[in-house]
Amino acid sequence: MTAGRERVWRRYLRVWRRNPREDVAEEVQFHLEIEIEELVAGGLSRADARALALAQFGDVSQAISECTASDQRRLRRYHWAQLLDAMRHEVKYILRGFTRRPSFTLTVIATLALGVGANAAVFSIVDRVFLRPPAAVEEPTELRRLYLLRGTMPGAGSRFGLPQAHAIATQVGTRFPTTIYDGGDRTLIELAGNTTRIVNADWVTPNFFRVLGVRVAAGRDFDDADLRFGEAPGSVIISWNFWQREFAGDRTAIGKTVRVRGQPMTIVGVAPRAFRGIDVDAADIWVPLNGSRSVTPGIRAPRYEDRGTSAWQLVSRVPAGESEQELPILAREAFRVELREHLSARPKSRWARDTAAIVEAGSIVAARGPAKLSQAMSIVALLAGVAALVLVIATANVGNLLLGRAIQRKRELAVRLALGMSRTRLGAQLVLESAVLGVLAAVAATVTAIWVGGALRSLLFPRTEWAGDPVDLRIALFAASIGIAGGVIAGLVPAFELLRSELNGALKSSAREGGGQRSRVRAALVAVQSALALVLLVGTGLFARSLQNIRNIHLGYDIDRVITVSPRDSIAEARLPVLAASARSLPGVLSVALTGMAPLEGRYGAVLGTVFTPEGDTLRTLGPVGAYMVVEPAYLATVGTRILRGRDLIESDRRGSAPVIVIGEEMARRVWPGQDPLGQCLRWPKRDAPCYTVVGVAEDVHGFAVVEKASPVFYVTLEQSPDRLTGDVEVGGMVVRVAGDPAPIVRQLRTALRSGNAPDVDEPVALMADVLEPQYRPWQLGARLFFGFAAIALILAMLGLYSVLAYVVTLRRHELGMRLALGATRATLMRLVVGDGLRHVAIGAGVGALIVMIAARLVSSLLYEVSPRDPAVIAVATLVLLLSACGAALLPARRAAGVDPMAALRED
Amino acid sequence: MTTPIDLLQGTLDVLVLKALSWGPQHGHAVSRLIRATTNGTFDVRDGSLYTSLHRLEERGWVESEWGHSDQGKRAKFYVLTTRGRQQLRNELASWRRYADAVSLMLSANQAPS
Repeated sequence: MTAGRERVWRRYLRVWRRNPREDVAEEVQFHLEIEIEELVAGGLSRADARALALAQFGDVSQAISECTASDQRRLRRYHWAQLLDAMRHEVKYILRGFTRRPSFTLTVIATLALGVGANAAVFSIVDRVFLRPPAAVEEPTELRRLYLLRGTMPGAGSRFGLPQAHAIATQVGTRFPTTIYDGGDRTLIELAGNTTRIVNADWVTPNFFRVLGVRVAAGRDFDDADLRFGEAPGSVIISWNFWQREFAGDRTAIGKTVRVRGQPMTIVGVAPRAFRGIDVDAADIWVPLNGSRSVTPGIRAPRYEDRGTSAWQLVSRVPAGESEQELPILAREAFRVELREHLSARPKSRWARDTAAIVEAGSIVAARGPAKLSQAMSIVALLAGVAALVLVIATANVGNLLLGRAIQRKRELAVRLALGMSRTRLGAQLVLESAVLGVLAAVAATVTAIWVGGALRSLLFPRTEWAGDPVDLRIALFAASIGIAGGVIAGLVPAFELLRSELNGALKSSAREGGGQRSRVRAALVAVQSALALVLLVGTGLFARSLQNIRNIHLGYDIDRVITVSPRDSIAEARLPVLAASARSLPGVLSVALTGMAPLEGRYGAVLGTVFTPEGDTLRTLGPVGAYMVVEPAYLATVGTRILRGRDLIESDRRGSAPVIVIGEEMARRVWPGQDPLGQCLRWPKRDAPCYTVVGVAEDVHGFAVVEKASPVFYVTLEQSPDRLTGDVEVGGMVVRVAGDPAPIVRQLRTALRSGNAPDVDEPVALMADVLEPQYRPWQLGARLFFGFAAIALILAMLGLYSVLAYVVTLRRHELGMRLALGATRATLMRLVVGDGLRHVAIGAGVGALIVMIAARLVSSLLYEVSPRDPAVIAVATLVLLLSACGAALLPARRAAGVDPMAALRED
Repeated sequence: MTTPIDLLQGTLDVLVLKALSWGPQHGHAVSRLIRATTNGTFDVRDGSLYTSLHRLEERGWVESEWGHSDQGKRAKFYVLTTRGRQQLRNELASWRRYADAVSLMLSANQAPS
């Protein structure tokens, strides 16, 4: 059988060398010649015979081209089969080599897997956030998101106030079907039997699915009757996952009633399986936006009239044949007209500055749009770069290891060359060998990426429910391709070295000669690794400093001891005084104060407007930045805001006694610059209102954010509040100061307020520190991730250094022995080796510092009050790197010192 | 002489396989064999015959090798492979079933009761 195959092969090869077309032509030529000869022999004239033979043959050129095509197909297939066969042999040989050196192979695979795994994990996020358009959407390239640039509203970017969104959608809608939605709203949903779930709700216009070209899998789509401005929505479409999870895919789910935010709604349809909304955050339910998001009773402003809540996003489709440029022009026009109308009705509106805003159409993938990236998204982008650095370091390390082994294998390779293998073939074999290592590493990396990716996801986007697994085919392909690329690049290092060098001499020589050249290459690789490791160490330092700086910001509260209670509806608000009374009796509670508004609630206090002098003249217009807090006297002491001068509010500051206020420092600076505010008096909120005397100055507080500018604020007691005079006092919040562990008291308050079943949705009872925690997160995250990557980088670089030095010591045993014999001390030898190592690392550190200087501005926006070129951070990072290098050099140095001079000299 | 019958591609392939089952042949000889054996019943263009030979080779049912014809000219000889021989056996079996069925029907004297 084997012999037969062999013969066939040879036959094929003979054909292969020929041109198939010539081959076929010759065959046909032969046929026609014989045919004509036979016909002539039968008595025909040569011309007649020729004509008859041709007629009998049919279309000659067609037959030739069909036969040629067939031959070519066959030969191509054969060629590939042969190539694969050769590869299989080669790979088998390589794998056999690996099993002979398991520790070397494992080291290489682990190193590459670290690099590839880091990248695959990050890519799984980059892919979702930046690259992939939403799934299951028809013609995603036709979809555009509208962005609002240079808007003054908080959240401007891709979000609009509903009046504006509505005006734009109406204006462009006839030519560019446009939908308005607010995605990723954490919402409480009640199913049958008192089960409640927190889901991600998208509030959408009824044309949402039609614009996206998504057809419901069951039930019906929304129709225009589902949108009733000012009324509660009555219908909801649920996601496939939610349907499976909560209803086990039962068809009778359609038509069932659920309560969304307490409002009964009918499930009318199920979205198709693959469709999980158009944001990174997967949606569970879609509800027609009815104008008021909060359907709980006691809501104050109907949302659909609220310009201040810029929550709404616009997505338009540019149908084939429509000009893409027209969309933003129309949208801009609609935005301007709407704003003009608004300003003509209310000329002093705070949105007046929005005349400078621009509406732009951009990618449906929000992270690729023209708006500024969110912090988490910026970190993703930075992370991609950092992961790439780790891969470079890992690749350099593997190149280093492979080169080291190639030198060890010099004799084997020389033998193979001597036996007639070409240098190119040998080089290709080495590259293939490392590519195989890359594939193995990619497999290992994909496995690690599954859990690393999952962990990264929840770290970066803690509240995001991701559509799809962290690792899918795309990620695996990505891992495989960078694994192979890394392996091949690493394999090129020894391959080039081998092709360059004179291997024939290796047959005769010992390891002593020709090593210097190659250890220079290896030293360069160590320098590269050190440089990149330094960059990551500096990054770690910068984020750690930022985190430290931001943690040190004094907010004006004792956030670890204060619980805020801020009910979401007027019924619960009415119960606050009772709750306060019972809270005071709880063990562990130090003090309790009721307030008009709990702190950290989006803004601090009620809008102040203008304050007046005792004479009734305008003292100062503070506008929307100024605020007042109506509080019980114990408030400031309870939240931990210190009184800097004068006195705090006291129980006797009640109705009937002289009206007093305590003001914040910023208020003092703005209203009475350069004067002593104590004893000053102001009338407010009207010119003829009582005059409030300033009795104390409190430190400034942060209204809602960790990073914010101080704003003017003052405090007045509930009893003396001017609202009291109109009988319209609102107690909207409560603060509780605890002595020990706040957790049990938070639990008790939640139970008392019956809010405990929805811990995630606008939780009304929370420790201040927990409310603020998400704001510290980006910095914490940056520090942690950089630390992780820097640690990997440092370990890899030091392994590289160790292996080079260990090799050099082996190489120089003879020389070292000689030195010892000539009187050098062992300490000198150790210094020699360590110095050698430090030199490579120091060069790398220098290059790394240079990279830091150049790349600084990439991270500056992610740092807080620390320069990206901070000299202290760079110095510490360099020190860490050099100390690690000393550590890595110590072992080879000890070995150098332990050389037995006699043995070394006797060798070879 | 009756009008020659057009031949379906698949049938031509079987005829070629059968012709080659008697030993290695070059294309011209295959053509002659088919014509002689079938008394010229089929209208086979030689061009189609060569296309068929190359198609069979692509499928791995025949192999080709350059050799010398009786007249000493260079000619390409085709030989059945093991798989080709197997294929011919399969085709023969199914052809027999087909022909038997058709002839049973066509030669029947009365409808079955």
